Amino acid sequence: MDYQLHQGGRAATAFLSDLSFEAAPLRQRIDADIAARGLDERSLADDLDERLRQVDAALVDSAASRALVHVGEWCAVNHGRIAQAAFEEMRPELAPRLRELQQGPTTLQAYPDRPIPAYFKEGPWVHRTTGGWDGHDFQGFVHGELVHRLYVNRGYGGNIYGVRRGILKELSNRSPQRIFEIGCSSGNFTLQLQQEFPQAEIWGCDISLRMLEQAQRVGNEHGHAWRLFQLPAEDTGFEAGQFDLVTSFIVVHEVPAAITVAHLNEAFRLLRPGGEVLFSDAPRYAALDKAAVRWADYLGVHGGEPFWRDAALLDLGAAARDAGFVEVRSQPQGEGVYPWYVYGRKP
Amino acid sequence: MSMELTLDLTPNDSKLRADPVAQLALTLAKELWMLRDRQLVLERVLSTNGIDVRAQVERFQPDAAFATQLEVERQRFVREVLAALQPAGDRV
Repeated sequence: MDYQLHQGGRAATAFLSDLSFEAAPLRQRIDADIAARGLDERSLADDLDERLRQVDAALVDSAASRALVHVGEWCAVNHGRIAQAAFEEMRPELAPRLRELQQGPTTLQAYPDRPIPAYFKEGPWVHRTTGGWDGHDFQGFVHGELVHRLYVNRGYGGNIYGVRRGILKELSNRSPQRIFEIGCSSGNFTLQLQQEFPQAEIWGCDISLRMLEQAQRVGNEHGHAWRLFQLPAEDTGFEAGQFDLVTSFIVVHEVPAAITVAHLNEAFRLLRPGGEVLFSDAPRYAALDKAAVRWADYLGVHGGEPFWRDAALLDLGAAARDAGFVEVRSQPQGEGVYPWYVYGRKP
Repeated sequence: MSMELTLDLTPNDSKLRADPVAQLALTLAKELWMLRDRQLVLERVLSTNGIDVRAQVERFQPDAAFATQLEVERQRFVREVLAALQPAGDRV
């Protein structure tokens, strides 16, 4: 939807984005400092905890590290605050339009009496965004629209949603009739799915009601009749064997590895024979060198990603085969290591 | 090896992150930019309405009374900055 930031929100989000972007090259200087202190692929510890502490001790007098720590901490703490403040400036004109967009063909079924899984409600605010996924009455818009488009997007070269669309090239069935999206959040991947497969009926689930409300707005704005459910994907209660595709995008690292295994099992149950599963996420640690794993762990520690390591150590290919899938591929798309995906077909 | 990522895995880094002065400086930098942005917007809005306030501000010379008012304000500001650098018990 179209909206106009007010002056304060526009200036503050631009400052946040510029600060983060301009600080990014400090990572190269930090890598040089790590190397200058004799830490390389041979001397970095095999144990991941020990490796984090090893580099932490080595960087204690690194000016570049100190600068990135302060900027990184400030951005982590303040990106949610700034986005919420920008929303508050627009609330009088925006809130009525957002409420209106919740009316339409896309439905949202909440289950207020069902228990919320511990991995969702405990621990730090996810991504350290202020209040977590449900921390504002319009958090779906605040995070899905303001944080993603004005802040996160720049780190992906301004094409954050292009990756979501591109991963769908890995599917064999080009005309799925019914799709189930795990962890649909504010509906950005859902929209890419619908645009790629216009004939498909799309169901989506998430645990955050505030994010689902934004997905509902996105669906209605585009005239789509999505069916959205506030459910954990590992226990949907849906009838078995009714979907042609079960898919998720960057959900794997948000939950413990055991939950992703449960998602794969539930996907297998929900798919028709011949149906496909496609989960996409960050690279597996097995595909990275020691230094890259250390960075990923480090960003997980300070970026509100408590399950990152657990998730990245999971062998997605083995988990998909264990769930019963065949023709399994667990690999990056393209030449780099991101996006990583696991694909399988139900026999 | 732990499977959950917690702050104690990077003790030096985590301690540095708790430094409120650095965080305050960055917050003030954001506020300063928001004000500069607003000032530039204000100048542009006035200019499009035929008031070239930017040129007038550049050429402005305070008279004696206004110069005194600026000096009082500036000295209060400097004292505030210096006070912030002192231990709390030495503040006046």
